[in-house]
Amino acid sequence: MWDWLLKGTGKYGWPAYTILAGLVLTVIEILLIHAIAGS
Amino acid sequence: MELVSFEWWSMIVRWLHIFSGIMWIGHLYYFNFTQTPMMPKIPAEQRPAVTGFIAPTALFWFRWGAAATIVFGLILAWMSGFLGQAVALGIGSHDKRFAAIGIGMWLGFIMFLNVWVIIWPNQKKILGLVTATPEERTRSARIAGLASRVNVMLSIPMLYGMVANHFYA
Repeated sequence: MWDWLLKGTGKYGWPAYTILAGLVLTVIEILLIHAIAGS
Repeated sequence: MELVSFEWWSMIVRWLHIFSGIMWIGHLYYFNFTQTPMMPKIPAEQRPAVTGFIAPTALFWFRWGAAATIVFGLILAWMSGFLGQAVALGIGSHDKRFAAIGIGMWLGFIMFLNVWVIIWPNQKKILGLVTATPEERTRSARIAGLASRVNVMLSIPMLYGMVANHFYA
């Protein structure tokens, strides 16, 4: 289930998925910041 | 700015927070980007040099760097006067700075717990610092590896929260 994060897939290595997942979380974080404390 | 002013001490604590943060996250990236991927490629007779000497020392600076980062970060937030608002994620403050630094702080705290509650106890089994069966070691390697990888992933939004706090000012 978590092999994409630990080992990657046949196509891309784990760094691609880990960094992409981190960037997706960052977008969610930006939306949260605006939702929590938006003017 | 006076040498012994409150602002000067606040700057010193920020300096120490960043120093220990680099110590922590630097080792996190070393484990994930360098050591772990290289282990299967190292000749078997040379692996004890990594597991017996390099890894235990790296883990020492890694986990204590994590602890120091959290301690100096909490002191810094308190000295900056926003510890309570940040812990509350800035809810009700209508201030994006507190939401940003608060999310960054909570992500950092989750990463710190990952280090001390999941990664380190499992690493002790992997490195043979505590007794464990081969099955337990295999299971510990996967758990510690996954927790460490999750920390790499969380470090990206965590760092955004730390630096974006200044952008929203």
